[in-house]
Amino acid sequence: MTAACTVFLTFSLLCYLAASLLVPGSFLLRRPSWEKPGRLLLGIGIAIHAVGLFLHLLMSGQSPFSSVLVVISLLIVAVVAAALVLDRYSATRHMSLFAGPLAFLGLLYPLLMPIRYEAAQSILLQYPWLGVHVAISLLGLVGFALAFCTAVSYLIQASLLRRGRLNSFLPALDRTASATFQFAATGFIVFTLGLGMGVIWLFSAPGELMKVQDAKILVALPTWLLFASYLYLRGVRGSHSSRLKWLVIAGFILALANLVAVRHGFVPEDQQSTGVGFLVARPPV
Amino acid sequence: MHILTLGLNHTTAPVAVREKLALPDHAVNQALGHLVDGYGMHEAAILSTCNRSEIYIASDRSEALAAARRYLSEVRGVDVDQLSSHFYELSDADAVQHLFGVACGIDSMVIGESQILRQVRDALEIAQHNGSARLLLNELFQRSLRVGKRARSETNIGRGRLSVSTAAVELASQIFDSLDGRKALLLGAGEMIELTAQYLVDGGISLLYVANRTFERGVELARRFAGEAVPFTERAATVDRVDIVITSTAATDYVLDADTLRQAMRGRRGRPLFIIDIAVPRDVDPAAREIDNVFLFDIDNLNQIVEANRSEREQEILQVEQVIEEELHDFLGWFSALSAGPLIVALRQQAEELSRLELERWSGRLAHLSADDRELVERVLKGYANKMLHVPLTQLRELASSSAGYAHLDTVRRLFDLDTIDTDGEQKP
Repeated sequence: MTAACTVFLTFSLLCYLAASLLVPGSFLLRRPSWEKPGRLLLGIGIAIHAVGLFLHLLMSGQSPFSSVLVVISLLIVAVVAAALVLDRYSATRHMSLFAGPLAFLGLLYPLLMPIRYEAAQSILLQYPWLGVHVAISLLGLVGFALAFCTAVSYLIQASLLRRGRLNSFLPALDRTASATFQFAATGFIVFTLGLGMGVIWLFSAPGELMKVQDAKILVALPTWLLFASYLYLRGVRGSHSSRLKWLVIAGFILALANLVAVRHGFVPEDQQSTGVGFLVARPPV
Repeated sequence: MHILTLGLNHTTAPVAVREKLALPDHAVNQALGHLVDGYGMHEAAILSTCNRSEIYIASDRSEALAAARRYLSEVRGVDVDQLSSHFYELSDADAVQHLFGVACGIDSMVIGESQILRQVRDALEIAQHNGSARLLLNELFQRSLRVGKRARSETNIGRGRLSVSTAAVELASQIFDSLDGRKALLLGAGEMIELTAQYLVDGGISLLYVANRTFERGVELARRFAGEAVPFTERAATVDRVDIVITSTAATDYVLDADTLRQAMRGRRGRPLFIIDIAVPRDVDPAAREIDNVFLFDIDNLNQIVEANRSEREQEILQVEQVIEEELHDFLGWFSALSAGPLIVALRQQAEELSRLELERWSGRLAHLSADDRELVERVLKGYANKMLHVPLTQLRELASSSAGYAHLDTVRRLFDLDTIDTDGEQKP
């Protein structure tokens, strides 16, 4: 990563940190005037983040989706942008309350960790289907991230109400419940499509690229199943139980774990993919 | 010119006094006419609500407040001097600050209530319609409306409901995004339950079921809300069909126990159920709180919410006072620009500044001049500016002392774009 890129990403991280303090602070400390600057900082944060990302790609000569930093960055920018748009134009308000801290932690992680490119890089350059698989899977994760935010919002709101505490910032329970369903359903469809693209990539690339026992696949499967179970129970069985929200939360946390698992030797180095793909990549023979 | 306020409110006068001096809507028009035409006020506006009666006056007469008291005595048929301890009399900055506080709701009985903002707007519209609110009071009231809006948007002074019935509606809005199309079940048919139901119906509830031990009373209440009466014994089955249950019966045992509700929730597939239990002793088993997506609130919970809202609003007063302070400073800047002294100073400063700028602009072409010659040019420019201003300033002083002087001063202020004169008479950059 170049120095310029690091500077941009650090500024972006600081914006996310400030926004993560200002937006929740505006509600918790009852300072409504903090909310607007908080959202503005989030907007500035993703703008700087995008520039940093562009610089990184330009100066490193790496392909898009070539590292965890890029993949997580794209996810953060998309989630925060979606949260800001939803806050502005929909009744599912205050998504930035959750998207801010998520962005801060999401960017902090790749900034603190060393970056590796090699194995995935060579495959990416040769097999564009992997890029398609990653891009579509990422969009699915954006849906999961938004579903995660609304599910957390629901559980916090329900918990506050149980304790007889009113608040003026979280959306009504039925609003967050239906938003969770819609985001999870959209994310699930796109994510499944992304997995399909991964299969196409798998069959189009030479060499032995996938092992069923690989951790990436082992974690991806329960992620997919958790969201599938949630959608079945909510959409088909018509259940409104608040416990269903835990399926969404667990599913998203598993997806994140899978995203970063490649960094901690969870997956052998010679089998590392880009981090978001759920197929284990080996350099072609 | 001074801004003066004569008034009384719920903190200074009991209702017995307030009702004697209250001016009904139809009397306000007449009163404004009398105050301006008969009592020589330049401008007048009246803010009359159930908790306050206030007369706002723009006048340069020192006895204007005494005249307003005299008017009240005559028109209301009471000896106002005997009631003087109930009145407050405020002038200029104090009067402005007071109205700003009133508009923000910090002077209201229910702190932060928003109805007062509409009442201030009504007072302004009536005075405008009457022609008794011209430059000064028009500006004052417009700004007070702005302060009131700022206070409510920038602070939490207007947040939270302050009665048990409205707190219940507020709670419902945390569970349901909209009450439109929702159904509610009333258990009991007392006054409190009726009031709460009324708020919910106003909020958009589509259908009310009423279950009362005396079926006929239930039918009567259901008819009032275009609802449906159900036998009291069918209350558990009806819970399946509704989103909200309001209960207030005289029963000594629980009318809805936890097992009944657990079973009902299974039938509802976990859809949230909002229960307001305002009965004492309680109608709903508190153990129902442990059931997923059952949100049960008893009278103590509602009272706690009301108290918390009240206390929160009181804590916001300091924030509101900061907003008022900012707006007061701005208004006084505008107001002081309406007197001749600061305006003349500001005009002279502007003329000097223009001379200086012109000299700077031509300094390159005048570089060949000696220091003495440059000083001469400078003096010529200043002399020209002073001569140009001499006659207008003399006229201005005369106009300022006329009856509509401040209006003329305001015209001059606008002509020369001197909107930003500070309270100390300095023109802001």
